[in-house]
Amino acid sequence: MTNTPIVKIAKSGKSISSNDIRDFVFDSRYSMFKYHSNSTTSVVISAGDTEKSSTVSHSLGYIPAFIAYYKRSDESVERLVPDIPYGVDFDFYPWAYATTTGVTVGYSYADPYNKTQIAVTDYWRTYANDNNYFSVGRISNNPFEGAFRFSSVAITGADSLVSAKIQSNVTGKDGSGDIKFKTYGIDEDNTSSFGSSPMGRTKTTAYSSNTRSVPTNIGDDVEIDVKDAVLEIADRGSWSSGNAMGFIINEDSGDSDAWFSSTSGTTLDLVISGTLTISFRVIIFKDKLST
Amino acid sequence: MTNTPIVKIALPTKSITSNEPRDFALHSSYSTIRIFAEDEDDVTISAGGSTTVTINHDLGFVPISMLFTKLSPGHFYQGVCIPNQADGFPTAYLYVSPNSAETYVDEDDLVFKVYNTFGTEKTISYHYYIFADDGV
Repeated sequence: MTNTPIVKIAKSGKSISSNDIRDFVFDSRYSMFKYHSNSTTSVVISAGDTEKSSTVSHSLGYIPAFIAYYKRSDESVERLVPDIPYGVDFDFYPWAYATTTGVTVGYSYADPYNKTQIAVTDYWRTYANDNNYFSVGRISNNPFEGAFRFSSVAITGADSLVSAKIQSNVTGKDGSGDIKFKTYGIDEDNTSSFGSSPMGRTKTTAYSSNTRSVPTNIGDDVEIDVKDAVLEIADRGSWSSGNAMGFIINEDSGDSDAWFSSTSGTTLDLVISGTLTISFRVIIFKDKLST
Repeated sequence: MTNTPIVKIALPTKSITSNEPRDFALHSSYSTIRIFAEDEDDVTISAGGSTTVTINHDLGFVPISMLFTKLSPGHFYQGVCIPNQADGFPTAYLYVSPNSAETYVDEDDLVFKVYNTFGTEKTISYHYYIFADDGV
């Protein structure tokens, strides 16, 4: 019979014969993580991105244990990955996983980075000249059109836009063929609510043209590009971030019986330029998690 | 007056008289993180369900612990985690609960709960480390 020799180094003030494993600086009966590498990498998240990742290679040939830290460029602290909140949505979070060839780290956004979604506050439709609905298209070849207003639009003339889109939630539709329309901004600094028809208000020079089929389903979103109109309004001399912005949608000789309407759920989605850099430190150990 | 002996093993090319802790493979002035227990095992989670895994350690104190879970084939994620979008979030995915009532370490156990939002049963691997030092 042979005895296995044991090497122990007790902490200062602790007995070498202690039975408390916390009393030792080193104890040969317990393994320790063996250092393999310490690397840094980073990802740049641009406006509109939802996920970016980077991989640190390790060449170990198996899946190793590791620790990762991250730091956002808009913060001054290092945080341990993962960093998952509880009780709120997973709006954005860092993550890290190991494979047989590397450790991949990344950062995810549920919505595109720097996207702001503003709920509609006013509708208008010429079909009934009321402010309960928006509609555009033709019925029996009679054109109908409308307008939207969004309050508290946080953008300045100095901002650079990646995109600006009205996402019009379809709550009614009928007919077949193409719906054609042009969308203008209301060329005002802080357009007022639609207590009366806004259709005669001054329009921006910028507009977008749409030709699309009748939406397939109730609940679909009709996407309307308003980037140039938003920029023109935000560039007005007396525009202030947080003011109200409106849009007029003119029918543009579409098919005779094709239309859609909206009475709820429409939003103005702005993606403003900007970047966020996430710096990672990845410490890889030689200890094997799996093959 | 007695002197406390010090045991030091310097890393290659580093001086044994260095004052930089990073220059040593072992230095008796600084405790090491010793692995008390580790293992790899599987856990099965029903479609749309969850499974709690309890690993008994009985150390009598709350130890430092690490957990890795294979939330996607070949991908061992670190800690209390949700996977990236390429691995299914938010459409259908597996994740380790961030709820402190469901994932925690105490004086007796390491406990974690895995959720499965897929429409099929999933079996995944996990690997844990329990260290011989106080976590709190």
